[in-house]
Amino acid sequence: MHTELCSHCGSKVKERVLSKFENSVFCCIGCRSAFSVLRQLGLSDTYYRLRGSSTQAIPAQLANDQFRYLDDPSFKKVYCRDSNETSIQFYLEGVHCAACIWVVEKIPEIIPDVVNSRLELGSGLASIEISQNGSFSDVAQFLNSLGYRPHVVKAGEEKKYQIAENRRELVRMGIAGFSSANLMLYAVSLYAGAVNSGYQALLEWWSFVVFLPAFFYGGLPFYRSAYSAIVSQKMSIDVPLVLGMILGAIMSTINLFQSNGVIYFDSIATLIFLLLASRYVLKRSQQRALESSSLSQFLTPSIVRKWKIDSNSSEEVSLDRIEIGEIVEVRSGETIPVDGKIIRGRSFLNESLITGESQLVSADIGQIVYAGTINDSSPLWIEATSLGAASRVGRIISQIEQGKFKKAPVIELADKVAKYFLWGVVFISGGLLIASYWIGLTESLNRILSVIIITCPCGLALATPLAMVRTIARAGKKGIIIKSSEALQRIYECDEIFLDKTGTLTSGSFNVINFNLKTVTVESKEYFNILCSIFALEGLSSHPIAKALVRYSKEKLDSQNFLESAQQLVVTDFQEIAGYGVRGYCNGQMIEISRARSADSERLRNILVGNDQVSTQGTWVEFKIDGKILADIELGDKVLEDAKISVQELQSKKVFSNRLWVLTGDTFESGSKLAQILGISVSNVKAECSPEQKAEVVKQSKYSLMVGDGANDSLALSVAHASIAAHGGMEVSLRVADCYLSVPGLKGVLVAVELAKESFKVLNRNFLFSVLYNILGAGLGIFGLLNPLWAAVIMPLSALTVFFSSMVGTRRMGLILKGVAKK
Amino acid sequence: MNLIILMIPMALILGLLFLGAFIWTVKSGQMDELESPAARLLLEDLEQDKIKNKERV
Repeated sequence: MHTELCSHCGSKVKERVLSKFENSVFCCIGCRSAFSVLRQLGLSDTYYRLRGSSTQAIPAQLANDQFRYLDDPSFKKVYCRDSNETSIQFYLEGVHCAACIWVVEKIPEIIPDVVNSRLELGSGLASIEISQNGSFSDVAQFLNSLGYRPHVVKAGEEKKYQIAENRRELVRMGIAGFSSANLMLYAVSLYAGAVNSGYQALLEWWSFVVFLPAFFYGGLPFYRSAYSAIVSQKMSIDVPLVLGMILGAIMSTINLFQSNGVIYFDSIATLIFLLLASRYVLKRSQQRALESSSLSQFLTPSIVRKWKIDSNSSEEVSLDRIEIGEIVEVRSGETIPVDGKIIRGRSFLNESLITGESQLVSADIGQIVYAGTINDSSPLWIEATSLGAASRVGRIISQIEQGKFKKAPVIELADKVAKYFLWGVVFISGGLLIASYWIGLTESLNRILSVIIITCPCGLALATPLAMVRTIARAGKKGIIIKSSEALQRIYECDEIFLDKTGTLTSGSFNVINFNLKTVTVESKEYFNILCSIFALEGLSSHPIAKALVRYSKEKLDSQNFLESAQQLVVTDFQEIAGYGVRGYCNGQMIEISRARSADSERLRNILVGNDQVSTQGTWVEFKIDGKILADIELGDKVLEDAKISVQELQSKKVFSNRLWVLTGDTFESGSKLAQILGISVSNVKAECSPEQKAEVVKQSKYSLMVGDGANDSLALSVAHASIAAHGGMEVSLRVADCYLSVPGLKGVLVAVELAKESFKVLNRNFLFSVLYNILGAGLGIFGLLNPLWAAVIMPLSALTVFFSSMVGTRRMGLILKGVAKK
Repeated sequence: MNLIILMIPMALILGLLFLGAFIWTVKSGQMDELESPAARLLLEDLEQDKIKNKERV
């Protein structure tokens, strides 16, 4: 049994999707369409040659949007980056290699009236410029067909500010680097013997001059930070660092003017340079993590269909143009964009975003509906009563934004350490000053300097953040986006996990879960005939079960290229019987798809026993030809594949055993059924919870980790000690959570928890090393066994040990991410 | 040792030249994004191949 690789993206193929091209196999319909587009345009050879060097396998994502709104003049006014309204920026999902750059920048040659196209890999941003006759929607359509789902990015002021700030920091770093490199040159000369020649004074004074820019300009951010730390009485690691820098500079200058003693300008300048470099790296990767999160989720404009009564049709406009009283058309599968009243149409709604209940609720004329719910079955026409921030969901969002539920700030370990360092240093310095009565002032000052230099916690300040950053970046690449190293620390501190049910542990939508054929096999032609009949018959009904069956059969048929023949199937004598099912004639045979009778439930339960996949509310449906049952189909809300394994793994950890909870807005019955499947005790299930009640439960636990998504979890996510937003979550969850998983499944939670533990181990280890080192060094310094010069030389050694300890830690974290680490 | 009177200014001027070049690259935005240039390197090879193929034909 060999695993095939997708011919387009290279990821492992679990279920083959066939194509008309021989020797090619695809993992999904998106990849197949991207491949055929490239083939048609004659771009295949070069594209796959360039892609050959890339190691990431990202399947193509297709969006169902039409993109026509991109050509609307009012839209362009808001989103275009220039006044001529000819350039725009898209965030593209899934760009990761040279081939992507190549094909995106080839757009001017492929689509008419496109002047320029440039892709930035790091951020995924594509800048497109068109001529007056050009169309953004054509570009978006093309990008979409290639599998790079485009999202429009608003021209923001923050980005410009950020770029300017980064550049300033780079220049600062460059100046510090220039200064320290030249200073090292002079220092080497001095050590090499210039001390004895007449040039000592020249070199020393010149060192002083070159030192000034690094000290005053390069060190500025640290002085500012240390100053604000002292003023607000919040200790930070910058304080002892700055103390070392300033004292070293003063002592060196004094020695310079007195023409005796050693000078340390080079050491201090190098320290400043290294610190600036590490801070810059830290900042850039944090920016990148936040960027990919904010761009793809927050800036997609909401397009709705405004219904015009006089013309009896709808036009696509931006959501902010809708006013109260206007009518919006919401088709099946779309999210309702406003709070309002149904004035036309009947359908079923998925209200899981508001209530957490996954079962579909019927919606009739006159009923009030809320923004964020999904219209599942038939088109609805809704008169808007509240919009945006005034809608129910909007109000929750703004409450959170106003910081009503701000988390207590985490005191970073490094800052805690800094407090002890500082007091220790002050104590020792005081002692040495007193001792000057016996050993003389110069000697005692020298010893103080040695102590300060050697206890300087640059190792902690440098190596630890870098280790954290590297891990966070790599986790980000795997789809686990952690906001900061504080977030990791908070996750580590948790000892109780609260899991939301709908959307987190289950898929959140009504779908086909089991398809059991009774007489024929999956590979046979009869199976596809069955699927074709289902597709044809259920396509004529708008019941939620029908929609689910149509979705399922369509996907299966399309992947094997049978969709066209299914669409040509003719159904006669179609009947839809409420409470029972559908019936019709196809090719002379009577086809029935109906609810399984309760007498059959015993038979169906036996089927369930052998199956790994289980649902929480199974609805069974039978497929019959001429009265004979050929298939049993189960529909419901599917438990996510890896949920069971992940939950068991989490429970096996001592910290969490029996402290896993399931919170849900659904009935107690479905909640406890799910708990049983996952292996969580039924007493740990809290059902029928409103968003407020969930938050209440979470607040009562001191070190709670909340895992959820959707507006109905955002309150709970913000009050928990640490929080993880699961895939498919709403905008708010992503802003409020410490970590969010952009890949579906609960495995991300497990990985995040393990990463947190490992990172804590690294921090502790580093801390231990630093303390040991400093005790040793301080001891030597106090007794005058170490002069300041040697102190300055040895100090980097402590940084090196911490660095290596971090490297070992990140290696283990890398293994965790790859999924192979042993506990 | 007289050479040192020359060496120090030379080293400094060279250093300043490089510093100036660095500041120029930062200000002109070349350091804003470092992942694409790495990938674009491969595209350059492509152009070279195209030109070579054209010359052959």
